[in-house]
Amino acid sequence: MISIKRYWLPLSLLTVALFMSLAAFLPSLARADEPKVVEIAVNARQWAWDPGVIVVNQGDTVRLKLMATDVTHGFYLDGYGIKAVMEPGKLATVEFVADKSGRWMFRCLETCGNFHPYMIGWLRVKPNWYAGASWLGTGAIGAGFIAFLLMQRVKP
Amino acid sequence: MNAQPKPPNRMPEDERMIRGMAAFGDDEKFLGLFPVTWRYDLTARFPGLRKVLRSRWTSFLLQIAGFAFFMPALMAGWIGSSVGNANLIIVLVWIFWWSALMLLMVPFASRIWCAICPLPSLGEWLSRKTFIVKPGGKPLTLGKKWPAALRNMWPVNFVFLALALFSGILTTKPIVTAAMLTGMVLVSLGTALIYEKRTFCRYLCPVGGFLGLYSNFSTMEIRSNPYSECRGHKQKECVVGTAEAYACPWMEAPTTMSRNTYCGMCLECFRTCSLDNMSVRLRAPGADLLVDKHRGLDESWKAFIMLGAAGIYSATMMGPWGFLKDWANMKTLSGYLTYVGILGLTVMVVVPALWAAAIWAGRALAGVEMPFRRLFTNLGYSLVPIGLMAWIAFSFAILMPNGSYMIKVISDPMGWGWDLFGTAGFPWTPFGLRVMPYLQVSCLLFGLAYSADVVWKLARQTYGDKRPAALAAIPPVVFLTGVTALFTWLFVG
Repeated sequence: MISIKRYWLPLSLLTVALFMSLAAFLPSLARADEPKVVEIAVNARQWAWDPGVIVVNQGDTVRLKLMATDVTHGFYLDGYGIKAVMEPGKLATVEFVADKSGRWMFRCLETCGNFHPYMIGWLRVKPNWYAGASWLGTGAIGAGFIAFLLMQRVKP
Repeated sequence: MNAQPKPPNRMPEDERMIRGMAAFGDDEKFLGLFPVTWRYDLTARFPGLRKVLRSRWTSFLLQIAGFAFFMPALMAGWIGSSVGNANLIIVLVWIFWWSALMLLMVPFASRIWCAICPLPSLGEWLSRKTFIVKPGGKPLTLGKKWPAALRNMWPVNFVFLALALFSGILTTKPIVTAAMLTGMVLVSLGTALIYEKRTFCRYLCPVGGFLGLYSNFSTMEIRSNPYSECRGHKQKECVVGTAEAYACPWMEAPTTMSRNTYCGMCLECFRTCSLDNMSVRLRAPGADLLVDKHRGLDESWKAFIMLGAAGIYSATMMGPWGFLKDWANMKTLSGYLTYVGILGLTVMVVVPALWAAAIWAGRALAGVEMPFRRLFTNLGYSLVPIGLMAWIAFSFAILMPNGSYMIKVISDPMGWGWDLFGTAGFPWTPFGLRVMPYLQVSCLLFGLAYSADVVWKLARQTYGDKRPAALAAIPPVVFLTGVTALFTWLFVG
């Protein structure tokens, strides 16, 4: 028989992991908004995107109208692997279905100067269950420890 | 009554006493999993390893390996392309070296980097007047002692902070990285000619400070083993040196050394010890954080600096805020000064002030007299696990998208259009970006749990009574949870 007193911490962490899995699973039961087409103009300059944060719903068809305003840039979306080259003054378009929820980085694909590796923007595909589950896990660990500490206070 | 058999590979009681871990018995575990006093002596298990470590050639070859990478990178930095990711120095130093340091070396091999680091080698070779074998005669140095008031981590803290203010251009412009590394070589050379031993590494190296602090979390250590052998041994060759080997260049006393903080793994103690009593041991991560010896405000402050810097760098480099990148990259003077102000205030004021508030609240909750400074300093070491894990999460975001640049620059290190190994045309190929958020959050949660467990152990050790300790630890756990939530937002929110 496993001694709860002895293995309280691994058991607590296991509980947290189960909690997180459950939290990750629950949003999939919720009915998503009707998918729609979202068209967004995105400007790129050394070394920033405008807008820097794009928010869509899972299932939306996302059409990004990409424009480089200074030098040649590129567009790469983490997790989706979508690429485009953006020459100054020329419009480039990428279209994809945002089927992977969570937060993904988009970044410059063409070397555009010294800060190029950090030319990053964020695409949030809601529901961002992973962030929610991560915060829940963080809170659960913190709360679990505080409960444990309070128990130590009353233990003989 | 039958005595309980002692668990194998545990630290003997006399060693626990001398190493400042008397408060923790054999049943104490990190996260209920890793026994605090567990040690596994690799040198006893693999006798051939001791032979390798005793050889003077080992250190020399490690340093030469460091030079083999360093010299071409330095040359590329000075005369190669000004585009960071097309130049060997940026890719090698800020993508590969940094990632290797945070992901592998510090967590698993302590300060092994210091054994490889080429920066102080020239000064050491010159002052010793030799590459390998210890010669007779006087060394080529004035051999002065570092000022007593500066024998702490404060100089390193300020040197690190001064460089951190230029991080935007330092990590992206080859010539700036080259200038910094050249400067460090020159300062280490000058220091070696004026001051004794590895004064530069111990008191001035900006990398050494955080390596030392975070190596407390490492799963590897160099210690005397068994300590009882050293106690009766009057010669103390590791402290005074022998005809064939040097006294500890890091100015430690290897017999009683209790933490990895100032052990540069130069292996001289293996060579001086006539008893063959030095060992490389595996242990639970973070064992040194519980050592109640030589703790100081200088080291706690290093933990604040590193935690705050991890947050600012993550926001600047991995965030979507173009204005932050412009500020860090010195686009305008006013923007840069704003960045300097934010970074300086965050690491030197905001993080320590929030921590002080948590400690103050915990002390009030505990209701037992305890010097504030002692509690503030001791519990500050609990920031090491979460700080290191935040840096590891940050390093994943550096390595996984940018690692493939190495394949390209190895063929074209200067960015001049060469194709030495036929890989110059290798395209930018990110790897593992779909799993990266999972790795990052796993690290953060592990760091939070570990830090919370360490703060509880440190509070118990400081108070000597678990009831007030439990209450005193609650606000710091709230602080740690808030910090983790913030990093979670930066990485996946």
